[in-house]
Amino acid sequence: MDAILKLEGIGKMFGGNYVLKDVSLEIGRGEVHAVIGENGAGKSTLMKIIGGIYEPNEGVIRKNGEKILLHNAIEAYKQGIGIVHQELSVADNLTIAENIFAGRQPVNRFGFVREKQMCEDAGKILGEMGIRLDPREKVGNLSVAMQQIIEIAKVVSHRIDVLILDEPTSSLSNKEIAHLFELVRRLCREQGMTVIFISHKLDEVMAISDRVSVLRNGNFIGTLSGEEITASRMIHMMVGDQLDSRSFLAPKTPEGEVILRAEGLCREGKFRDVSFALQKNRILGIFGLIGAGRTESILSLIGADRLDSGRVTYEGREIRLSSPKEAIAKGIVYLTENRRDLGLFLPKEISDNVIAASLGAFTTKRHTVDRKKAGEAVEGYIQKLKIQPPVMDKPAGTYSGGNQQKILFSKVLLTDPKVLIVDEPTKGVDIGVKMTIHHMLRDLADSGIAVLLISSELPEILKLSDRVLVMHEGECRGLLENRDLTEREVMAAVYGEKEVQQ
Amino acid sequence: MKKRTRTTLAMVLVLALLLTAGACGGKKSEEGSGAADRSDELYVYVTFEKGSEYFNWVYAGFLAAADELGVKAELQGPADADASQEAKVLDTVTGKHPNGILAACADQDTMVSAINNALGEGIPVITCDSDCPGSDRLCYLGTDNSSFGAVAAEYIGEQLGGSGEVIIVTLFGSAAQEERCAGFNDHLAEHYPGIRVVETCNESGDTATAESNTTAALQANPGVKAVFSTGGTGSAGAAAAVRTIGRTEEIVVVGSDFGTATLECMEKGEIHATVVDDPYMMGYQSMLQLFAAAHPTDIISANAPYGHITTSDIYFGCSLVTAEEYTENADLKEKYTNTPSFN
Amino acid sequence: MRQKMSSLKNRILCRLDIQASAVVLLIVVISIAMSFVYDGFLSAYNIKAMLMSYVPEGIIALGLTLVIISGGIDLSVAGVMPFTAIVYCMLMKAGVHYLPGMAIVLAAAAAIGAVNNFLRRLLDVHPFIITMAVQLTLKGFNLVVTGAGSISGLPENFMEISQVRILGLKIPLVVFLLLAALWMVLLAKNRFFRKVYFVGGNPKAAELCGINVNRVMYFVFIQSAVLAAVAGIMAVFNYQAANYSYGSNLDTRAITAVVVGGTSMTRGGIGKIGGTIIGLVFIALVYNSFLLSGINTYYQDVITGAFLIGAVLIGERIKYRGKPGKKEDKS
Repeated sequence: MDAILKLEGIGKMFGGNYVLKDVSLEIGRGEVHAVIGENGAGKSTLMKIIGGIYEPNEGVIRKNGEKILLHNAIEAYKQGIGIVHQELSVADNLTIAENIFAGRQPVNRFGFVREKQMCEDAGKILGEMGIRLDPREKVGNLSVAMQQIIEIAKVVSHRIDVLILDEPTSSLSNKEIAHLFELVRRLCREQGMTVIFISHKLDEVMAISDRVSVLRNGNFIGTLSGEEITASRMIHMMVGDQLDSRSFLAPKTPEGEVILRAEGLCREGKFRDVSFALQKNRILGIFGLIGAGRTESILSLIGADRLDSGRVTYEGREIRLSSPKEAIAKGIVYLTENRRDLGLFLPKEISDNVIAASLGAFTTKRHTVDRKKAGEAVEGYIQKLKIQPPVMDKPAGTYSGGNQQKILFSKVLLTDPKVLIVDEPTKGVDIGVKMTIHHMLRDLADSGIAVLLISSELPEILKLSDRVLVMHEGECRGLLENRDLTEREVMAAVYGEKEVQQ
Repeated sequence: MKKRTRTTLAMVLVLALLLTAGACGGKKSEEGSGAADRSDELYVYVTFEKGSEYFNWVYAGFLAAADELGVKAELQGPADADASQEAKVLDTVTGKHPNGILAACADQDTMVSAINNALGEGIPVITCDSDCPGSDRLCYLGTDNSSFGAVAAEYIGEQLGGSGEVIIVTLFGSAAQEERCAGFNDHLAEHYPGIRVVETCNESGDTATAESNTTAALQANPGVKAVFSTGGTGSAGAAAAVRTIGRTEEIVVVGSDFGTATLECMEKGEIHATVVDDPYMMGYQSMLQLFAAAHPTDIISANAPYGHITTSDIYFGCSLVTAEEYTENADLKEKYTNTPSFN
Repeated sequence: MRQKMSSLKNRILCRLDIQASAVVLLIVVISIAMSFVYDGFLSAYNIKAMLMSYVPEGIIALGLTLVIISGGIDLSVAGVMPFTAIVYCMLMKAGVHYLPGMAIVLAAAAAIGAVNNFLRRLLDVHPFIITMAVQLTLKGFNLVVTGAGSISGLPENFMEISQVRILGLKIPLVVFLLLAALWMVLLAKNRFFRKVYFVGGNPKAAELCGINVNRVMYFVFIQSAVLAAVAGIMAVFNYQAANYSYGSNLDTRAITAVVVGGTSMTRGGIGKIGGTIIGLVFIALVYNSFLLSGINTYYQDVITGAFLIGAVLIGERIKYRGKPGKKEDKS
């Protein structure tokens, strides 16, 4: 194969952890090559290395057989490699032509931009790409999809032969995606461009890629080409060979009645037709990849965000929550994934943090905080959850991640919730604490609380959930009973595949 | 039309209406009720630190005279001491072609071209209290600052029995206050040679600095028996300094002018006397002079083409008001505590 | 065809920048109203007086437009202006000819501008704080050096040249008009000047485009300080004197002109010199109207503040509604 780009043993570390290890793959000249993998597989990091944004700690990149060293994006351009990032960087109030030639506009001897020349050149570039837009148009007036096209035009105009697109379709409509693919095909056909792109939408990958490489946990798994590219194979490679599901923490109490029911929840642009039923004494897991809309739908349910339509029934009565405070008052508590920003008051002592959501219960008649009562309650949780160090007056920010998570849990449990919603509860937490939290969640369910577990970690979902709600791109893809459920089956549900090949 | 265009248009119209309403309603030139109809004559007092007590007194006198004469008066100028801003105000006021302009200048030089420009447009311009000698202004009315200092020196000389150490608190860079210092020193040298000025502090334009600098000077010179502040701002600061080191009973403090702070200190006995000039009278007299300049008679004046305005500068005297006099004389107290204010 | 039509519509709408149009409309309305309230309002004398009053603000606003577009702010100008006026006078009194004297103070100002940016990068602190500190330092220096008095008594040759009028206009006004025209053309057409827009919009992206962000920022702060120096020199031309009190609150008024004119302080990469000039004319007009109709000076600040808020409101909520600029959470 005529490989335009060869990656040999690429390794990258961030803070002592390998994000990519020993990745070796080849990109063929003029092909459309997709790179896929689960969250955290290392796709974006790999692209940034090829694009010159990061430098690899190990390994070598070869272009056209020659070793290249890229220290920044400019050097990448010089080597003919250009990257279009997921976050657009267009200057809204400038014209298309000026955006394309940012910093490189054609000038006369006074350094004055030759507008006419620039527009002509821009027009030529747009024409070569088959785009019918007036280069004098202000970019801010364009749709996000067109802005992305302009960004691509800008990158392409650097005379590159390798174009990298990082999740290009994440905010596009179907029609716009078709338009984009049309453009990509044209670039390959007419300019001999090699296109590498990241996606987690397998249908798109199948629609346009010549070859697909799969990463898992920072390792390169393999490349599929042509006929080999099927959803089941891709899923298999992304997820791995686990035939058995992880050890399941079974419930110890019988299933209670339905306490919370959601029907047809919608919010424009975020999620659509989300429905589920949550029973007491049970854990409902909500699984999906980034952008699936899991957190958004729950935030809308508890009143933190807007809900356009849909019905929420709680304890048999239809309710409409207008704020998380109202939700807490009713007994529905949401534990955020982002401890730092949204959950804890890091400079404050843990006792303050723990009673933060239940201040009403700890206020004396004179409107001061009943420190003694608070102290007793907090002491209880420190014991129960084994918070280290077991003191009450240190600022929360000085505790380790795992302990911070425990502090957050204490805060939540103190409010005596009936429905507990946890979002990525073990994110960034080490194995020991993870186990503790998992057991704690199951214990809480057994004690009568209904638990909603939002997670993108499939093993965790399978270990704890009695049922799994699968979401993808804002929609529910399935509600699965966890009877020896495997990761493959869940992933298949994500992508809508019924049969999964071994 | 589109909703947002409508909203913007509405906002714009409301803002415009507000402004013009304010413009029409905000006329603040006062009318007089004199005999001959001179109600369309306008005289403008342009000053810096507009709103300060002293200049309000000047304007009060100015306005009283205007009322008597049946003409209109106006007060203009920046609220700070920015001389360039004041010059711009003067230029703009010149465009209104008033019958006369009285100016108190933020510094001695900056207003030269503005004043000369106004004169060039045929408007008589005189200065009061803060002069701009480099310009062609017709005359200057001011306090005789030399005798101001001398009056204070006389009082202190008497109080100290002819010998002792004294500190002066003054505003460096102010010509007027420099003159007061000079008058003070000269009078002492001539009449009370036994009294020595050991230090001269800078009040730098605010009471807090006056206080801190004076305190330092007092601590460095424990034998001081009197403090004289040549300016209004420094007076309260000097009194506070003396209070801070706890020697209010022993040190004679003489202040200047009759700012509210100074008066309060006099009530409390922290300032024993203050030297005052008469800004109200200066304002009144200035108006009269301007009027004269604007109304030439059949006889040609020495200041042609202007009227019979004085050709030399006019210096007004000053007096000493002791704390006892102040607290006992109800009329005096009445006069000084009711500071006029203008919009 | 449809693309062409919508682009034509867009071109027209772009010219009719809603905020600038609102201000122009206000200018027209106020002028008409004032000419009834006070005749002589539209006389040549008054218009000249009005423009001359705001020459220093105008010159400084030109530089500040670039600074604000780049996403920063420069408050040191209120200290640089009197500083250069004072030093210029001192140099001339010491025997330096007025032309090399200008070069010296302009160079000094350039150095101050460079220091502004250097400190900003070194300390990684918002330019508001750095430039405010520089302003206070310079003002302190001004006070000490002049001893709270004014400096005058400049050499004859300078006194002569400063009184020269060109086409009946004083030199400061002419200089301002020339600089305004120059900056307008340069910002609209010169490639280097236009980099300021990219840097202001998204510095990281600008870097990726090959723009030397560092160089651009140094340039931005240096030109701001140099223009403030020009304003200082022009003050000396105007008054043949210098005083530490010149230019107090100059920065606030200049920034008001820039913001009212449509340059955004919250979104980088947006703004035009033309807008700044409109904003400047507007403020000069309002101030002049106040003066002539005798509204209390204190109300002036209140009303100017109200206009500033109004302009920002129109800009932020109406003009830029729905446009990217504020980050949203993703999950």
